[in-house]
Amino acid sequence: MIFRMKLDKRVSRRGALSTAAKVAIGAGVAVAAAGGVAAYFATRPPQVIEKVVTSVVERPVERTVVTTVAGVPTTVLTTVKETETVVLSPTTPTVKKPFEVWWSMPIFDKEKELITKLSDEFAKKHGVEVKLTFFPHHELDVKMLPSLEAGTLPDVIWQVHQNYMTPLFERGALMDVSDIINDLGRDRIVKGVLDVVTMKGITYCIPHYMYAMSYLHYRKDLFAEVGYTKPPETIEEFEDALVKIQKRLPEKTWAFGLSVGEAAQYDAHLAIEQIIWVFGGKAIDENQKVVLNSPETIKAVEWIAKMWKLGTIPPASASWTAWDNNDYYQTEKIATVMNPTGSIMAWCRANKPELYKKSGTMRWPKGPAGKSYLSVGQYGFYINKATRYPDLAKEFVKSFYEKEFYFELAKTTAPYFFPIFSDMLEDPFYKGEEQLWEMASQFLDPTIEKRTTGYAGGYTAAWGETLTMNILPHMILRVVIGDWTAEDAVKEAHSRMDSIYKRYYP
Amino acid sequence: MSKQLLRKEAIIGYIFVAPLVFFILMFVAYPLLTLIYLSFNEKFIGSPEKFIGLDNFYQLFKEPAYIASVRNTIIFIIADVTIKLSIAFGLALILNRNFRGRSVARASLLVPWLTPIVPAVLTWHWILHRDFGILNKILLVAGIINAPIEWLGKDLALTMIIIVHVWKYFPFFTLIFLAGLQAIPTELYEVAEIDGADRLRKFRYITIPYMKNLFKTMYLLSTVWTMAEFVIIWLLTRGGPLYATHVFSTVAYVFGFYFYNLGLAAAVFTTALPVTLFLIFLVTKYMRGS
Repeated sequence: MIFRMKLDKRVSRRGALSTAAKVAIGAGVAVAAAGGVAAYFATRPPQVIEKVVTSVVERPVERTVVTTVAGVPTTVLTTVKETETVVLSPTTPTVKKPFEVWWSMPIFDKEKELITKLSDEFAKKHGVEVKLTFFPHHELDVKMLPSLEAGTLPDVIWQVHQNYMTPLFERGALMDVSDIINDLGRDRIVKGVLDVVTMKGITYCIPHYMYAMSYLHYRKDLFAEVGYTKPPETIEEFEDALVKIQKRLPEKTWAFGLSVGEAAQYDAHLAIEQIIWVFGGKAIDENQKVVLNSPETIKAVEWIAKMWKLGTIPPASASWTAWDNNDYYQTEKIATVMNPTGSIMAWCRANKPELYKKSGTMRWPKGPAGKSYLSVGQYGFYINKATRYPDLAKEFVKSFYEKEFYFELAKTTAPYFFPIFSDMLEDPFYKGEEQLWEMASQFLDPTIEKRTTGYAGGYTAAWGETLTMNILPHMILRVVIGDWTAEDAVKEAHSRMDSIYKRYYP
Repeated sequence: MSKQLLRKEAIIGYIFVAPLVFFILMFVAYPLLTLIYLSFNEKFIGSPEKFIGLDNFYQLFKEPAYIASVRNTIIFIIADVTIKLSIAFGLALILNRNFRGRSVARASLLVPWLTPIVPAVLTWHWILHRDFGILNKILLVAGIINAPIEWLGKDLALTMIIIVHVWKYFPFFTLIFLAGLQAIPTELYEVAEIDGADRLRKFRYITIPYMKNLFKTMYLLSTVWTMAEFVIIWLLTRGGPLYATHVFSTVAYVFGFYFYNLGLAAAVFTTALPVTLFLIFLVTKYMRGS
């Protein structure tokens, strides 16, 4: 009614109809035009720039060399130092769609500068537009699968959190990069690192930065005060040291900096897994069967609960975030700390040299299992299987391992990360500094068993889901703040893991 | 009026409402129906969906995080909305009076609401930190407590989230109530005064009836908004410790983006949908009434 009254007063019906028709026609034309433009851009073939850039690169090549041993011709596979010339154009046409790289945000300014500079040089050298974008770690994490779904994955991804990449591998979205590993020198790579990124016999990632998933840093001065001038070698000695240190510490300081809460994300999960190994347990077997519920795991959980009750673990660790354990150690509120990556020592080295000097990194004490374990972790490159520029992607990745550049990057990030090559780890740069060598030498020590998180099933997508769902931290929280028994908590965690694994491996 | 003319008018009407209908279909109905559809499917990001009937709901009711989130969401909404609106209404009554410094008080009231949410919540995180936080420090120094309190621990985390949420959003509701109070004709109060009504009676017989519908509408709107709260909880506790602060939105986020299980995440919202739709219906009803 209101509409009619207004219509009567202001415009004639004919006029209104005419205007409405004009508006409708105008809108239709606009929509058609926009649709046409969109359709043109959506369906046109990639535009090849007329200028053909011929780019020549030299790379080390693995060659099969026929040699003679004791007069018998023998085939020996070896990496020789000769180089091969690769012409990237015109077989890799320079197209308008940029070569796209997503990179987890570097920690250090200089690290970022080095990466950007190398990427720019690569772009110039090959006459391509390299679109390098840095993302905060978790922003990149949650982009992975949606990007796969949307078909917008970039050509190369440098990713921190591997658990967000394993589902991509399992969906067939990542390239087998074994040839790049061979080119880089498979034998030079620290034992155990490639196991982290190899599933079903396929290597889907080129590790770039190497670290331990659960370094155990400690205050040498405090351990020495209670009689441990050398780090404890067994879990009993470790417990003894922690209890003695706790007695001597002032209020609001603790002996054992163990993250147990879900807000700590991976720190807690990886630390708890390491302790389970020490006690001889594991979460998964080789056949992807959940084997968490075992007397060994229960003992490990009971041991953590005991350390909690003894007051050696900060009560706030139940709600620690990923950076809280760093804060506590760096502000000298805890005497030991478990942490993935060497971020704590890197911070101390740069900002608090007096604390750095008092700090060390011990091998994980041996438990009833009688062995010391090192959980090897890595940050690395992944290549999109659907990339339009496979050769370019491989060359781009390999350029980041060029000896001089890579070692400079490694030194810049030390001891946050270490290079993946054994020969580089033996460099005087690491050997010459006690704290660095304590960390680096663990990767080279054959007496330490190198494992992958998710042992013995491997870092599968199912394990990634277990990790992101914080199942192990929940198990510990059930006991330390939920008053459950270790048996019940382990049983529940086992059942939750089982439901995940059964989905992947029915 | 001839039938032809009526039909022409109807056509014009349809043309004018068409963009709105299109907008609603595209941005409300389609996502909503997709959500419901997904909740009956096994859908992992990057994989095709598969119809599984009620399996997602069956799995949901076995999931401890979801069970905790139902309880937490109810407590969070009831406590948060009631406290927030009570404070907002009380402050609006005070700010509606004439006193020196009223403008400053009104302006400073807006600070929590205008502060960007991420730095605000991270500041709260620091304030409430057990060992580094200023709150425990003050309480310890003042001798009020003997040992630091775990503000973000299992027992207090939800309460702290309610406090931070109330702090962040009460200014908005204060402004709305203030606007409502100022819309009450002053003549009514003058007449009541002439008739000998005291302050309490004026409040009871003039203010409350005038504000009743606005209050109901705000209560329902705030309930709907609070139900969707995510940022404050995620930044303070990520739903922990031990599920103590998980609500529907955080649980759905975990299922969707950590678990990649969009079907299960959609099922969380589908279970909440009847309540949300009922609340929206009530909001619409009261808004019409007011």
